[in-house]
Amino acid sequence: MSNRQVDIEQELNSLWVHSGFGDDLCYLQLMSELAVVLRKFLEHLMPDHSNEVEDVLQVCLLAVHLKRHTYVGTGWITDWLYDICVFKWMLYQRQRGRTTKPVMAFDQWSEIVLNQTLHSAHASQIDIGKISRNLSAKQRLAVERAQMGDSSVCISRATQGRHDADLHAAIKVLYKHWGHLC
Amino acid sequence: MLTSELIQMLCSDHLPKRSARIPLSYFFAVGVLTAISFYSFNAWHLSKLGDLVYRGYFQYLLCCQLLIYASSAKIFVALSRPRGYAGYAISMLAIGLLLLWIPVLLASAYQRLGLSAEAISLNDWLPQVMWMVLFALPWMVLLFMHLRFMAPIHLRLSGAMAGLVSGTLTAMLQLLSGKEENLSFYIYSDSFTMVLLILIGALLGSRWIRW
Repeated sequence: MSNRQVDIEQELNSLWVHSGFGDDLCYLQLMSELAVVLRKFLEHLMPDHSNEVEDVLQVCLLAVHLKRHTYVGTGWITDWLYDICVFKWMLYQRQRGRTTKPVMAFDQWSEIVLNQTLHSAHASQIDIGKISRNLSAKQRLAVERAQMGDSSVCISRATQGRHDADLHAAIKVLYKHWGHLC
Repeated sequence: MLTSELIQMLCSDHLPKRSARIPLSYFFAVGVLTAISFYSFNAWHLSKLGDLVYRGYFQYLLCCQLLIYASSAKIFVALSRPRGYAGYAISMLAIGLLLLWIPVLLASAYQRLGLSAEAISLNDWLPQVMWMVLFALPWMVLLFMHLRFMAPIHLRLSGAMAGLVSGTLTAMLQLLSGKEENLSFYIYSDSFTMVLLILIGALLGSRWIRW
């Protein structure tokens, strides 16, 4: 097993453990990274049908999501993924009357780059959405227009009068729901 | 649909999944309860049997079948998930099958040498096999339901192993409930039932198991 594969394995395993405890962000990141890994696998398996890679990838991701309870955590997660991917790929090929050749070992781990920045930006959006779902439309607007300083909130002078009350109400709601984390 | 949209959708459905150990624990509980009831019944059954050799042979057959059941159940569980690890269960299964057939092979050798005249015909045990297959089918359906819940990669092999597990369980029940005095009868009927159920399981495995 190459060093690159071990790195990917460790990262995926860590995300798997965290998402097992109900961390939605970790699960989102995990699925996004699995998509990167599986896409590379499938490009390796289907060099002649590259336009169908995304279809098989979606089938594989759905299978991973629905059968995630079958990974017991004792073996390599990439091996488990690899088996599911090959199974779904073979099923897909057979349904289209294509022959499948025996799958050789995958050796392109060095080419897989997990896109961390994309996921963290995406995760932030999800986080903000989750926090502000308890707010009304006016309160959400007030929070969005506010500028967070070091430890204070600044509002532009033009909108201060109108949004002051909404902002304070929003902060109260946020403190009520998320104050225990402060 | 874009892959990113699918991921979003899947993440919104990230609910705790029912653990795979629940149906497995049911499965093993049935096996353990059956084994315990077998042993208790066996003690009562053996008290009625006078011949010491017969008792020993009876115990020997039961142990062979328990060994086959345990190892085939372990292989079945390993096959029900990707990269499942069966360990030494395959060798144990081979040993169990070999041990089951050694007495028959020895008896056959004795018969050829003219030392024993006792033999059983096909008509004696073939009707019994049909009943055993019918009795094993509900067990096999349960195991197939478990396979559909899990994610087996080798569909035919998983189906065949489901057939073997249900066949062995039925064979053990038949051994303890039967009143046949010739114990070779059980080996023939049990082995034929197992082979038949393995074939049925392998045939149905590739058609019924979908995930």
